[in-house]
Amino acid sequence: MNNSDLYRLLSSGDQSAREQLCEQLYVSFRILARHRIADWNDAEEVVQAAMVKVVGKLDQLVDAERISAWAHSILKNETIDYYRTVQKRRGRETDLEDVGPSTAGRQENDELKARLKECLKKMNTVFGKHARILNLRYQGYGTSEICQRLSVTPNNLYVMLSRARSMLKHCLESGEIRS
Amino acid sequence: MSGTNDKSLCRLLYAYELGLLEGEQRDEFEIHLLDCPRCQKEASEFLPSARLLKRDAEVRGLVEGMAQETSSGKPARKYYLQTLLAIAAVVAFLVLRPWNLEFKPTQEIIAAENRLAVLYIGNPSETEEDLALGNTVAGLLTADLSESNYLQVVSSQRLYDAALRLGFEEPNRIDPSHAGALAREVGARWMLIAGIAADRRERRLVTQLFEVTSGDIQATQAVKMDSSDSVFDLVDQLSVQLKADLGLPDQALQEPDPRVADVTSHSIEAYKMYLKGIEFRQRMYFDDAVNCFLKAIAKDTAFAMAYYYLSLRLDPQMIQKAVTYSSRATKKEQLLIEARAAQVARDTVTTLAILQSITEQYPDEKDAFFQLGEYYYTGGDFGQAILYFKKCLALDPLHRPSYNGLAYSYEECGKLDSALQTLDSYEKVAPDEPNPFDSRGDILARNGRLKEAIESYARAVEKEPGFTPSQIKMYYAYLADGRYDLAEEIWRKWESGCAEYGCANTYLAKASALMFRGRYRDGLAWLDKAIAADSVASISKKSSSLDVLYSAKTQLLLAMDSSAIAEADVTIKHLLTMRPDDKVTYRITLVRALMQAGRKDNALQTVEQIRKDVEADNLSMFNYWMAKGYFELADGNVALAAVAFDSAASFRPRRLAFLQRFLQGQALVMAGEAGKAIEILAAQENSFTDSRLRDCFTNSRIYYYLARAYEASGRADAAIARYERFLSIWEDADSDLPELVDARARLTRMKARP
Repeated sequence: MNNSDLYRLLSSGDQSAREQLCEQLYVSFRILARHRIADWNDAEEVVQAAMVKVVGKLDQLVDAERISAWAHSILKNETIDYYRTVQKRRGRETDLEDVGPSTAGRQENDELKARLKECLKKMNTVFGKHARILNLRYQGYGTSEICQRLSVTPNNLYVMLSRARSMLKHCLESGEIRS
Repeated sequence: MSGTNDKSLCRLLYAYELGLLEGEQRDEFEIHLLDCPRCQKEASEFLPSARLLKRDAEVRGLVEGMAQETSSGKPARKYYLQTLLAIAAVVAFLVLRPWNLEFKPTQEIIAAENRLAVLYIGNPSETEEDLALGNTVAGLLTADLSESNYLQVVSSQRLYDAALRLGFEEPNRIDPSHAGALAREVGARWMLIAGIAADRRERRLVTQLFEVTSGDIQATQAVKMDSSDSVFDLVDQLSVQLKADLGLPDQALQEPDPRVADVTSHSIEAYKMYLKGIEFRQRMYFDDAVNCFLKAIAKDTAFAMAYYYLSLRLDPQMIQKAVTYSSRATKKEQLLIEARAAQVARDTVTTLAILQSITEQYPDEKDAFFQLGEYYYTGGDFGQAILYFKKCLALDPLHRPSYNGLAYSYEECGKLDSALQTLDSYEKVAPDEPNPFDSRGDILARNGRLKEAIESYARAVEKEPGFTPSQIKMYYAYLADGRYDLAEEIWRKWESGCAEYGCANTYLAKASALMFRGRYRDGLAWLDKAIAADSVASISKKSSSLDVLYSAKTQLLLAMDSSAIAEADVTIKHLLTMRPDDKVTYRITLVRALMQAGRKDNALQTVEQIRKDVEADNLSMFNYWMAKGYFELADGNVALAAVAFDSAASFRPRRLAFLQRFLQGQALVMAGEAGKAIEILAAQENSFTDSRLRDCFTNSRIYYYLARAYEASGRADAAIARYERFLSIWEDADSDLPELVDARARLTRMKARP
């Protein structure tokens, strides 16, 4: 059941709907926060802070259709507050989303890294554009610039990436490249 | 923002995970993720890997190294052959999975080019059934995808021609290692290769979409094939997904997309038979092709394109059936059907317009270019004919009919060298065929090189002993060249074998030889024999038409004496009875007969009636001018006759206007306009066109009238040479013929002059 439907149930007095809605939002928040924030612990703190606000203001929402957008804005604001705090602590400007090498946080699984590297090599033999796109991203190019360099439309780029992701995921699971 | 439940946002997941989304787009996706269990699950599972890809230094270093290697110019390995050979392995893997439609889309398209070649790659061990099925799927995919306004799909004919040009032994079964070369040859940006992989349990259709220049595989699909009946559904599904794989604009996915069965056939067996017919046609086995198309319509009585091809080779009227069912054909095929229908209806303007439209919309359609070439050739616009024959040859350098048409077109433009060079090329692509030599003979004969022409005809007959066109031309060419014994040799061979097919044509040939030499009475006897033979064998397609024989007989009778008029009257009435709907052709002969009988008023009425009829039916004025010319000639108004015959000649291309120019010259001689007569007749003297060679009644008489023109101009030597030639041909002619008597007298007088 989507968030809007759960909220409508919640509004009609269904407490289980409230619990389910909060659980769904929490799972999603963790994903989003971990993509935006390099440090796992910091990400978790931001999620907790955002959930507190969501739960506290849930009854004030009028439009059920906007529950997801409303919840997202709370998380985003918490994330922005987090980066402002980090900037003050570190005394330097940082991008909202840090794509550079991780300087703190949990150590990634070495075994996963080894598999990932192996799969990337295998993928490169059948789909070289994946490496090119990643490399352009590392160099700081955005979607429109990458599209220009590859002479593709954004839509084409997304579909290429979708295919690459599927290929990579399959390889991570099975060790093989599926052409 | 679009609705966050929009499933199309799911495709942005990896872009989001790599940090490629920004601003509102990123917000939109994140809101979507809050409501999408699938994306939540995927993102959650992939999160550690995504973080490594975004942030890990080692991973980043590896990726940077790979990216630099690829962009340094080292070619990506081409995987055509390797991948295709691995199809079995791929399919084996897939067979282990539960049945599903595997969809791995990706696309890279340069906006301007969306040209796709669809190939079926068989393997030597497959069954005939699988080969036929595979070709069927390729044909259906081609037909289905061709309906898109955003794709240009290479036709199977184009692929076949290209394969021949590249020297592939089996143009309809492409070796995997040749697929790339073939795709490049036809200028395809994309190549879709289909293959059938089978094991004991099931068969799967595996397709792979390649970008031709890079060799990158863009998409792979594998579909279980449970029965032939699902082939049409399978193709419909595949074509939708292919359009997505190719990254066509959203409009391409929204354009009307008819079911492939609705634009081909609902019977898979009919379609297979149709494809077989197409293959035979490509190889020029036309009888076998016709049989296949007949079988196709036996299985599907509404198969429009089968009727179309039958109208080309079997019965033109079958195009009406094609028109009736044309809604069940692709857009291109509908145009082809329209063009053919207009052609059968003799609506030249409409035919040309549609053919030109076809060439604009479907620039691979060589038949349309060729037909335009033929139309312009027939219509006398030889410059345009050359243009279109060349365009056809650009698409198919092995297209023999285009070489033929191009050579004749050059000749008509007076470019003899170009014509002969074209025939050299024709001979190279068809070294074992008689027609290049036959055409060479025609072109040489038209340019006065009669002996060389005979040699070319002889080579044509060597290539194919039963090649009748060259045999016949040799016969008449020998007559014109004065080698009567060799002509007789050919005639004897015909006579010895004519009993099987009917002897009317053989007897007509004998009559022609006699007429050529002024032996009208003997010629008349043989014409009577031919008429009798034709009456017996009138149902045989090999026999001459009775009306041609009667027309020849009438002509002879009118050239003899007044006692023959009554008999001429009988033959004319016979002609008119046989052709009650003909308003003009045999009425011209009637005009001549009426004038010879002294019935001038009736003759004039007939001339005027012909004029009214041609104007009312919007027919060519050619017949009116011929009737008018004969009337004025017989009435002694020779100057007017010359003008009328000149007008008639203007309606015909040079190669078909011998009789009209002869009559014009004859009238000019009678009118005392010697200079003009020489100009007209001399241009015909050394041009041995087919129409001249076969017009044995007129052929030899040109020397007499040319001699008279030279004589009147004071050019004695030229006159004497022509009189002598004429009298040599008419050595044994009927002694009372006026032209013979006059020629002898004139020659005697001229020789007697100091």
